[in-house]
Amino acid sequence: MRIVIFSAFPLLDRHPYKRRLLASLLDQEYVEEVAVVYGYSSLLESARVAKRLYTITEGIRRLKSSGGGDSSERMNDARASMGPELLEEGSLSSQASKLQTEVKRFDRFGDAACLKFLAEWQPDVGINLSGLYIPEAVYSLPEKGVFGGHFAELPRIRGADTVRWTVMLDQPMIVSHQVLSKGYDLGDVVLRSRVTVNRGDTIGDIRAKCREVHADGCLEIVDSIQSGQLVATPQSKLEGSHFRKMGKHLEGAVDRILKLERYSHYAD
Amino acid sequence: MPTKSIDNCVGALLDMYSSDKKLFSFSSVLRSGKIVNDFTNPSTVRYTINSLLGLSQVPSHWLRGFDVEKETAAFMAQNSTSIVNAGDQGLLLHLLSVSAMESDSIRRAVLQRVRADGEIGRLTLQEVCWILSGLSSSADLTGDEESLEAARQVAETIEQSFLNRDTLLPFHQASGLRRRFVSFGGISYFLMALTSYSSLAGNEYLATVAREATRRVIDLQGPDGEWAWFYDADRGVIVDWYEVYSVHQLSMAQLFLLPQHNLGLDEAAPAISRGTSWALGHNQLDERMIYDEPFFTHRSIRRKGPATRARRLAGAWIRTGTRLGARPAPKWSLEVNPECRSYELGWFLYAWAPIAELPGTEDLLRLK
Repeated sequence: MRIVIFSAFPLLDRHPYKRRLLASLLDQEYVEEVAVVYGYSSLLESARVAKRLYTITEGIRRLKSSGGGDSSERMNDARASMGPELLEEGSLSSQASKLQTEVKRFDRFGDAACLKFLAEWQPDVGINLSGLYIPEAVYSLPEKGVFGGHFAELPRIRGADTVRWTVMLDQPMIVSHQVLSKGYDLGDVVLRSRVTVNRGDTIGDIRAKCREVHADGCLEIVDSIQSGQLVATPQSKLEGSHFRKMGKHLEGAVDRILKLERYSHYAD
Repeated sequence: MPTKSIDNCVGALLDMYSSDKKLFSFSSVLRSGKIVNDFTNPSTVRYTINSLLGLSQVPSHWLRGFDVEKETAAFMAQNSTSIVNAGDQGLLLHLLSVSAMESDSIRRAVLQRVRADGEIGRLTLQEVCWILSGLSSSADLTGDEESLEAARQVAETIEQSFLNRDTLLPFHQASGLRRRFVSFGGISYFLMALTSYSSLAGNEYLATVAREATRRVIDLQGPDGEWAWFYDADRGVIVDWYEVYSVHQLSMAQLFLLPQHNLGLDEAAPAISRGTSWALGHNQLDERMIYDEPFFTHRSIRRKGPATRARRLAGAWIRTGTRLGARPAPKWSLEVNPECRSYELGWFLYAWAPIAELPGTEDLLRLK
């Protein structure tokens, strides 16, 4: 099986779950090769996207957290289970180079050069770890599709800031894996995994746990594809709602819910 | 008793009606126990739609022979050239839909506006929300898919161009100098339209925004239960308390608080109670603002002196520039504005008539 991982902003791409996923994929006997394909690789493109998506303050916060920056003990414990080579802080691209995995950098995923590379490389499966939009021309190339993790229950909660909206709506924290398709968060759902939320967790902690569950889910999906047992359930467009980025007032309300431990779905 | 108040209110509103003009008055005052009406302002068209909407919610045995359907048709026939404002058309569609009257021509006019490129984004909050209310009730009560799709588009425009997501307060306009300054009236129509549309469409996101924005507004309610008049949507603060309007206290707050109360928002009922209590005399001037026999409401408690609107806007800008909050004015500088406008009684009936006989209404109104 040939797997392409889509990621973005190579200079900042230091999330431990990505490195763990890459190493785990390469450990599978049936995986022939993995390539890491970056979009928004240049500083200029990164700045353009960041300007569109984030305020200055939020951008700085995200920059900090991209350094693997979830500081809770629980996350450190999670990292400790990764193996000694993964304990070294570093980017996904440097990890890929160490593991002799091909890394390609493009300004955008839909660039002609990117499409040419993918057409020639012929991936069977794509995994989207970029958190960004992947164009149809790209996600239609891998034979089995491109899979993405959505940090909330689909179809109920689509859109942005879904971890916060899940807490706001007092719903269980779920990571839903879907096959990327034309409609935004409307792809067939292949996996739903519960995320453990403990008392004292902040939004940052929960997001970090979602990422780890996302990585585990990707491994499970690849396994299911290999064994021919992957089941894709279509979503109805009429179900669920599209949530927008949360504003400051509600962000504060969600932070208070967690601080006061008023969320109803704690594991402990 | 609320039922008696509804009955008396119908009587007062019908005293403000001209069967020749097919219009309800713009302004009315009580002189020697009798209502004196003024029909000279063009807003009579809007106020008439509002009054008919209120009367449409009243059980027929209280209407003293007034035939809402017949009078609405006559009003439309006689004043068709004056019903050109987008918001008025939206409110009229709402009236026709909730009254199960023929609405095709006005529905077409509203749909045309929604489809016209950029038109919705140029309207004021009040206008765009009345359009959403009209389309929602049209879709809800007739099952019309075109209206539902148009309502979805309008709701999306409101969410994207009229909502400050950071403060959860709406903007008066999508752009322009007064954009950030929104009145309590605009907030009421915004929350009313968003609550009904989100329930109709099953949109959990907008339903959550409506519920949390309602909580936000309740947090801004004054110590005597008053709803301030003017808000800064960018900072989420009050920039002027005055005028404090009886119609906001008695009726318009209920346009969103009653639906939210029915949806389970615990904070809604106490807010209604505090608000109506203000109108019953628990206010800065210790003046009763609503009378039952003859039924009449005084318009507001306002600052004394001329050019109140200009002063209000200037004060709002000064407080924004200096980042100062608005404070209640001293008692000596305030007065009661004794006039009454027909639309105020229209909203009173619209809010209370459908539930007047339900248990608990008396407690909410504190009219026992």
